Amino acid sequence: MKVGILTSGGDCPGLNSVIRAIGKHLINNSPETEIYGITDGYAGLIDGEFRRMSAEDFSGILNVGGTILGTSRRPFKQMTLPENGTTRLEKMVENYKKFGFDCIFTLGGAGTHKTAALLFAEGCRIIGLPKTIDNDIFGTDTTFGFHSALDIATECIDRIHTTAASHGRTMFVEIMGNKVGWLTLYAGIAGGADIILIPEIPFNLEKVAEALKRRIEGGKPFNIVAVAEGAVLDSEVNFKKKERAFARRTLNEATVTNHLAQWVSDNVGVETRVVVPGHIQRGGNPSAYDRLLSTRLGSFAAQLCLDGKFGVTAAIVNGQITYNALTEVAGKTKFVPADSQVIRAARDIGISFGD
Amino acid sequence: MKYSVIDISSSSLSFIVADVDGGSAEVIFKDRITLSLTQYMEGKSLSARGTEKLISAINAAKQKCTALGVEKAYLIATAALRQIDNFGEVHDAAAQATGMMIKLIDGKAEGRFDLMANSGYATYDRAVLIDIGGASIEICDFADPSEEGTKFLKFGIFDLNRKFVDDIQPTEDEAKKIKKYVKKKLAEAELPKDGAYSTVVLVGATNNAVYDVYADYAKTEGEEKRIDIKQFKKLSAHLTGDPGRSALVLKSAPERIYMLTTAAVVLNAIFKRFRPENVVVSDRGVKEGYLRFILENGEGEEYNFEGEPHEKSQPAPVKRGRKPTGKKPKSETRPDGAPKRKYVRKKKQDESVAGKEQSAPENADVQTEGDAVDGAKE
Repeated sequence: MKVGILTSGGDCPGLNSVIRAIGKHLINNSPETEIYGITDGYAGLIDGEFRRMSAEDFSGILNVGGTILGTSRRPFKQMTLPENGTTRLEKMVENYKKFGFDCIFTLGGAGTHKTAALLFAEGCRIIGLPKTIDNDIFGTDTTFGFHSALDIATECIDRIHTTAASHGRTMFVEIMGNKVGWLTLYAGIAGGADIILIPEIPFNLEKVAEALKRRIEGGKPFNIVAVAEGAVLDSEVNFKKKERAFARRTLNEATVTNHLAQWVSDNVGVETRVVVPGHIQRGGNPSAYDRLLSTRLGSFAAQLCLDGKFGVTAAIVNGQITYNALTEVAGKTKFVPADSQVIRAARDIGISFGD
Repeated sequence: MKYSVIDISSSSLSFIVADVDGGSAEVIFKDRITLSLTQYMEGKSLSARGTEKLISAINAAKQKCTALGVEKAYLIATAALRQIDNFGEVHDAAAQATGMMIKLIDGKAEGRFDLMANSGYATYDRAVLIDIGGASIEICDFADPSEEGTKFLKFGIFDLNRKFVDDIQPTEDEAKKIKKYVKKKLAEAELPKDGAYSTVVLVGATNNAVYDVYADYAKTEGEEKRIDIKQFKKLSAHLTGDPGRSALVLKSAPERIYMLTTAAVVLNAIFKRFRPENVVVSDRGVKEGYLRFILENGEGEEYNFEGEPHEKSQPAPVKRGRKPTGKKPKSETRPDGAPKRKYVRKKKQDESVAGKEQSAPENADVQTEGDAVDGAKE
């Protein structure tokens, strides 16, 4: 049997742990299997860039961040556009068949899963694995990479406390999460943020101001506000993404966090600063939780392959590793539910969501 | 009082919630939960994971029903569960976990319920109803809604895929073989052709999914779901050969990736035989028809949301293939005490009903007043 492994989209801690688990499981349980690494994600499958992997490749990478296979972003929308008489999808399918793959493991986020579903629909045997620091893949309680990013984002907020308190400032910490607020919500609570703003709950500037003033009047000279990249002003809730970007540009603001910080500074009369941890959240070594999760997911996925189960993606549900059909997952986003217990707990301890 | 009918098919669990008042019902809510049961099969049995997903979907529907104040619900399933070898185990597990009993509906009953739900189209000139299912294709003449007027082709999408399709979707060659086979079967069934039917009414989840893909492909607008046959032919060709075909299906109906192209090929063959002037798609079907049947017959394995769930604590006896009896009911009254309706075989279009019926397809009401379709009771 010939299998390929590719890592696609944004990198995150845990990718190498999954690669290791797949490799070791196959070597231990099906030693005749040939394992190939596909370079730089779908770009490698399009261009036919594969390399044979051996047992040595899977050693010493459990606790290494990033991906040993490289990665790239190849948007789903571009996969079926005509290009020199063919399409990227056709090239991938052709390479899959020409090389004689029996299965490809695709480690990636929502977009990767959509392309994986496309490949499966065209006859390729695909098994997906849910990778993202955003934790927004449908059908799984957690994605690998999320907890590592959570640890990092939480530490950022932790560290900001001392400087915020020392200077009596209101600090806005912008956390990754363009569409969903899982990382911001969890890091905000874990880091002790006073206000948490996530895309799922549009926020009102006046409500944020009220929450800040309540704390100040209560004797707290500083505030920590965790803001998701994709947080939305209630006045812009009906805007399209381009319209919001335009609104920011016209005011010379990079993100809504800058807009919020400036408004608070002007209207609440407190000193503000914006902190953007950015890609630090993706970097570094995977946490213990992510190493464990990645190992479980990777091993399970390898067994799915040996059992002949394709067109599925591994998942963790209620603590158990299982799988979902790719067609059930592709194109869907797991948003933070409005009635989430986590949000309820946050509100009950006095955290404001700006609504 | 609010009733719900929940339907398990191969690619989704869909349900309606209706406000029931006396003998009439008005559908006030519809929803669908993606459930690709085909992907959770192990041979001819539903896997443990598939059973988990099914239970989860049923519970999600129940939760929604509770939130909407539903008092009685009915859980039905058609070919998707009819064909699995381990239905008994799946049924017991689902009953244990949800308190709901799954009632299997056979192809003929499906046909009857489809007709009941779409009786408004009976006033259309030379109209025929078509439902493409996993295990059968039903073709019902509105002018003769009896058993004689209803043809069942004893194969469906699952059968065609098993016979002709190697991968997930048919290739161009495989599609040609499917078309030839269907053409032959339509001729063997001695179905009318070449304009015998002026209007084709497509019903069922698969046909509706085909329409969604068609609407995207043809960029149609407007509330009424109509299909232009020439455009449909182009879509069918696209689905069987062009790059981008999978992306089109995955965009609008990802859970039907296994069925959609084959269904389009079948429909093409049917349109070619019938050469209708109009093709419309109805989003009313088995659920609405079954609800009407329940209201008129007082039968059905209901789940009561008030108090303890019906038969929840007992291992449920497997009740397979229980068809709507069509027998005269023992009681002349319904459980709520109202007299049951009597049926008259419809010979001619009733002018006084026509006006009302004309409007029926425009909205999602299940209307029983003034209908005189024999279907459930013979």
